Amino acid sequence: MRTPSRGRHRRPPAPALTLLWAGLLAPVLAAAGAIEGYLDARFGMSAGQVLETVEASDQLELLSNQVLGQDRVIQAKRSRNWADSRVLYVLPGDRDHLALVIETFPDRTDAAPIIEELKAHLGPPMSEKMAEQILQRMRRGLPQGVQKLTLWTDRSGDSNRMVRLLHFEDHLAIEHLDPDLMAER
Amino acid sequence: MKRLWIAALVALGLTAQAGWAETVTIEVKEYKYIPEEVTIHPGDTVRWVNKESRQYHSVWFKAEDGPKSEYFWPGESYERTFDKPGDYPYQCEPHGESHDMKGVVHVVEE
Repeated sequence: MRTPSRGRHRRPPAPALTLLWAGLLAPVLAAAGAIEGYLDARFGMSAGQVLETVEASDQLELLSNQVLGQDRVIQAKRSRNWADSRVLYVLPGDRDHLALVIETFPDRTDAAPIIEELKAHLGPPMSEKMAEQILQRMRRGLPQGVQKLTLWTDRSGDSNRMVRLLHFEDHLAIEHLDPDLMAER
Repeated sequence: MKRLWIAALVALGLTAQAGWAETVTIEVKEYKYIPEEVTIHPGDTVRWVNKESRQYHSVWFKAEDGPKSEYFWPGESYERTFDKPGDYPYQCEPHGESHDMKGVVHVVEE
């Protein structure tokens, strides 16, 4: 934290200035911990909008846009200096809105950099004990082979959205999920 | 005219011979190759298609120290053409042992 230099006392901010600061900071504070999507793609976007964000991103390479089973799935590749990953944007059923983004890290079991990256955006995850209890309860609804769960819930209090890091024996996957939009399939 | 007929017959024979090659599709789903065993003839191609909703897989001919696919993702596929008779066991590289995800291609003379 900065401290004022000796002999130069700052005047307390005027009420108008305080209000201005509060006004500017409010959206930032409200956004902290809010789960809204993945990179520039937001939950609820149409396939066309998701494609636009992927194509405009300098972090992603668009690979495909297909209907797989009942869902539209847009696939992209993401490269960071510490890992390559595959990103699947899922628009369930015949509804044209983004409900799930899965980012998979093949052959990677070291979760530390992923957790750090998520913490920077979402704050600390739920306690390990709580996550373990949730894993036991929702195991049927998870993909086969999940060994551990690291979970973030929406701290804005506006939704049931969550981000869950799934630890498999041989890889890791992050799900950015809006359960309400998924349930509308 | 006679030469033309001979040329046409030769071309027809070559086309027919090449035309017999088939492509057999194996679905990759729920950590399984479906079907796990296929029987084909020399010159035929096998195509593995990933039908999972999210999971990646591979095809690795480990026993023969043979080819290994890249990971292929939902909607993607991998192909191999088999020219010689024999049994070609294969497995998924990341899931061969953990999920017993294995298959065999039998290549037999016609």
